[in-house]
Amino acid sequence: MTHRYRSTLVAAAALVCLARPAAAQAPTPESFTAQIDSVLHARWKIVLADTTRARGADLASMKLEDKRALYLEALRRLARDPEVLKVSVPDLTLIDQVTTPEERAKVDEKVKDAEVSAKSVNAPSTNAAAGNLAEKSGFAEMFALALNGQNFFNANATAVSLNLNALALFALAEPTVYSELYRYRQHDALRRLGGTVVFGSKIPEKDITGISGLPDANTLFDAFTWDAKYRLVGDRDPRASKWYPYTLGLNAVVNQMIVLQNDIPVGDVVVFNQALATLQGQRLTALMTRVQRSPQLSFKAAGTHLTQEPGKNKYSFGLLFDQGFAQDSDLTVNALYAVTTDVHLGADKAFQVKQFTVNASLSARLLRDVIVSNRSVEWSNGATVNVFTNKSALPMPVTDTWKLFSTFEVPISAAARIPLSVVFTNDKNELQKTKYVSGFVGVTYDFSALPSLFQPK
Amino acid sequence: MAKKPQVRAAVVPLADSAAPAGLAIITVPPGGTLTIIVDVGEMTIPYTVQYAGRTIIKSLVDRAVEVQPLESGMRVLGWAFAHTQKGWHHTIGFSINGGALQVLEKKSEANKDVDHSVGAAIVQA
Repeated sequence: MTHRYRSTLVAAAALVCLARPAAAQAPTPESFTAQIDSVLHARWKIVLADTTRARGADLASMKLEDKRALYLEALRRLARDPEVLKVSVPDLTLIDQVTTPEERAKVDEKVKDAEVSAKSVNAPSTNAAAGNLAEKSGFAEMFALALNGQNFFNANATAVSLNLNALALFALAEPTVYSELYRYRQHDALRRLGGTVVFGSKIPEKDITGISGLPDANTLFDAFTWDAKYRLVGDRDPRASKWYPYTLGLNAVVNQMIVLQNDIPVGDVVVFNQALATLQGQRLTALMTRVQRSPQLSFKAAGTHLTQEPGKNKYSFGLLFDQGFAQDSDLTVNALYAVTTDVHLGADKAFQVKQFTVNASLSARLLRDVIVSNRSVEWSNGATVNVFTNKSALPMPVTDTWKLFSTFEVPISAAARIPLSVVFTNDKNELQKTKYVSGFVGVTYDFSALPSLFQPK
Repeated sequence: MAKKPQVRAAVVPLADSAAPAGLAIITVPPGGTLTIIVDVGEMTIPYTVQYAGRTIIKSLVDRAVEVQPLESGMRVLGWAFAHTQKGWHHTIGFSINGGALQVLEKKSEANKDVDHSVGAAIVQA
């Protein structure tokens, strides 16, 4: 428990004691919850009366639609009421609450079912086989094995990515007993550390040395890649303690407003519930937007090693940054410094290639539910700049490269997408894999998913 | 050992009672017990259950709580859930005198339900 939250709980407890001097014994979680109930009941009477008066309406004679609107307005006012905000502090005791064995037995007997899901990533910023894309600053949270069955750079190959997290080395609290917030709080520092190892990928020489103009630049090498990431700033997980003022405070008190079902005519309970669900949904959307927009910064170190021949070891390190905008847009910026050692490329003496790469992309999900239900058009725009920092020490002339790209992925069914991308670059070698090239512009498209639209289901 | 009387929990349409349409009625016999049982997945926002204007459950984990004291007459039982986690699900139900669970609300992301809900029932004791 951080000092800040301990202080807020103590402050809240003090409020309880001040409000009820007769019951000046040690506050309990139940007494804090009861205090919130008490404040909600007391303030609701005043807020509802004010709201009704402001509308010049008589609640008893209103239509249901009008009542729903009035209740929603009153609930919004209540959520902003200073007295309610005072008690909307995070109740940290909820994190330590457990399901007792007796409760466990009852729940298991009656309703228990289980669900399992998995996540996977493949370190795209330093894993050339993944396309050298801008990489999100977060990482897979659980120990996971991701088998990438797709062909990379048209090479006839597959690669295996193994996503690791230091957390995998430790046992976490039993999920059927402890809260998810309790489990997330465990080993907080280790949750910041993660990494990936990639076996069996085939990587073009140019992606190891960064030099693309040579005859062998597209020769594929068997490579092993590793990376380690440490999250320095931010946490885009709603379970993180930085979101407690919302999850355990403001949003929790909105849920607790159901006690007001007792303060309205029983015939209004259904419309009141609809109004409260509207407020609840708005607050939930606001929370998730806030989480999504929050900045996150990670440090990354990575290495690429050829498995079939010596030399050309590439080491990279740098920073990965994410910043969200609106609800469905995200800016990702990577700044990486890389050194490739023991490079020959026909020269008599081995040399090093040092380069600095900045990779930025702005992605957005558009037209959700418009083309296909529950799916959006994924739009990504970005730029990559690669600068050699030791040009004078290299035995051949090299050119700094840049690339601008815009990619659309349009959903056409529950599973299929049509990818379309446009690349503008000063490096023509970048355009070799595109379907259509004009000058320094390359266009790639894949309409192979279209026939599935016309197949009988 | 005396066998507990088997009481059939009654969830009846409100059209048959004085309660408003859209709400279920839970009838608890004299001297009977009412236990609220909640099964949830990963929660970050505590769900709440209220009875007669008093929060009886505010929690992030599965709970099975007997409603005490049960007030005579008709009282509103309400609940609220809000989810942020992938794969969310929740089930809330009740058991009278330890009998079979009667589900009041069962929602999940898998069923494409809305990720937040507010509900209510009438408890007649």
